[in-house]
Amino acid sequence: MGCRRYRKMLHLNRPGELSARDAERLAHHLEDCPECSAEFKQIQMADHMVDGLRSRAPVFEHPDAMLNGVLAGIRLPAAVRQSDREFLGRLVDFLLQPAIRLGTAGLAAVAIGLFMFQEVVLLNSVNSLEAKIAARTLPPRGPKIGYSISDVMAEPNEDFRRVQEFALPLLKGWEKERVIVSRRTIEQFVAGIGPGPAETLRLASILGSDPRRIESLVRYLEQHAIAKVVY
Amino acid sequence: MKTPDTTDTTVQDDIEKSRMGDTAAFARVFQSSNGFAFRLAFRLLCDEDEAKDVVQESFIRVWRNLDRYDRQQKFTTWLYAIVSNLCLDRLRAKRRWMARFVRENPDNGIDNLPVEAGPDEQYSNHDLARIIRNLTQMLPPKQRLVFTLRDLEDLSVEEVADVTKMSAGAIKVNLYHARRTIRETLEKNHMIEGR
Repeated sequence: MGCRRYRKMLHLNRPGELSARDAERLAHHLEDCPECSAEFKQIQMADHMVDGLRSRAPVFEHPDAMLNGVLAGIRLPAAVRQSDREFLGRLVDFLLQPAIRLGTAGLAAVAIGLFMFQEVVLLNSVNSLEAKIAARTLPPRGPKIGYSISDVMAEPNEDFRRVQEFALPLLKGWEKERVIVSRRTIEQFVAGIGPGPAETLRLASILGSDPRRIESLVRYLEQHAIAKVVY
Repeated sequence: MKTPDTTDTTVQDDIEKSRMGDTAAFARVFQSSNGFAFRLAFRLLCDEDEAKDVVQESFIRVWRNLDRYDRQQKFTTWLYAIVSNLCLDRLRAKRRWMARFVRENPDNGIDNLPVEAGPDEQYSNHDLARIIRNLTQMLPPKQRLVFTLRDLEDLSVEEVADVTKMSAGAIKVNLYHARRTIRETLEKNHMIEGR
């Protein structure tokens, strides 16, 4: 039996703690091992200090007052005397057990992960919806108005002739000898007309970004158009 | 200091009368055994007020459970067990807070424990509680209980087993660890010379 084993026995040195056999072996070992013997002296010093504590008992003052409290307590129903603190203490002890703590942390991590996943899916859906909305071509606002222009002008007008030439391939409708020109067509015409007095219109923003110039052309067409068709 | 022997017929008669509802007899039981109940609770909890709370609660529980008391068992052993269990509950609740206190105050030294104090030298309850607390605050509740019952209350290993319902082997293991920790505490605070 090595010193390590004997050193454990040194701490169980009070009567009745070691078997007779172990106590005898320990005694022999201490005679032969100066290190264990020195350590045993340290332990004995510590024991001496503990002995000093054992001999000093606390003073119990006013036990009669406590007796009154006990007698009052035993007259109360048992439920009233139930210590809520004990129950809470046991509950807290249970919740603080390592396995319970790990399980709670794991559940919290799973809940957070599911929440984050749900958020990502929702954000992707929102982004997709926004992209679809942005890609959609919005219809022009307001009523669609077409101007019927004659294919035969009463007075020669270079600009009007150019409008007519431009508008023919873009007819929204053909009605006898009338050419129906939609506002959109006019906007497209503004974007693509050739040189001449209307050239300044081409310099304006394309497709309705300069409403004043478009309105100017529209008024011109209104003056020369045979009929105004709202559709 | 052994557990008081309450096998004399007077105490047993009072216990029997208490079982029948005689509060005067129960008062006599209280007066004969409150001293060592308080001493045990005080040494475990190191707080006079808490010890008094536990003692009062213990006797109320004794009254309410007299039907379960086995006459073959020493009354003091049964009372010790009730006091110990109530103290353990409080120690476990306090342990969480104490662990934090010790971590935040690693250099908290202990008061000097006089080695050669004369027998006439008295300590106040406050000083005694502080000394015991400094010595045992690092012990887990079970080790603290076993150490207190064996080394401070001077119960035999068999009596400690009867009180705690632990095996003799488990008691010795807890004693070993408790004493080693206390010795290290004393060395760390230069109360005894280290190796």
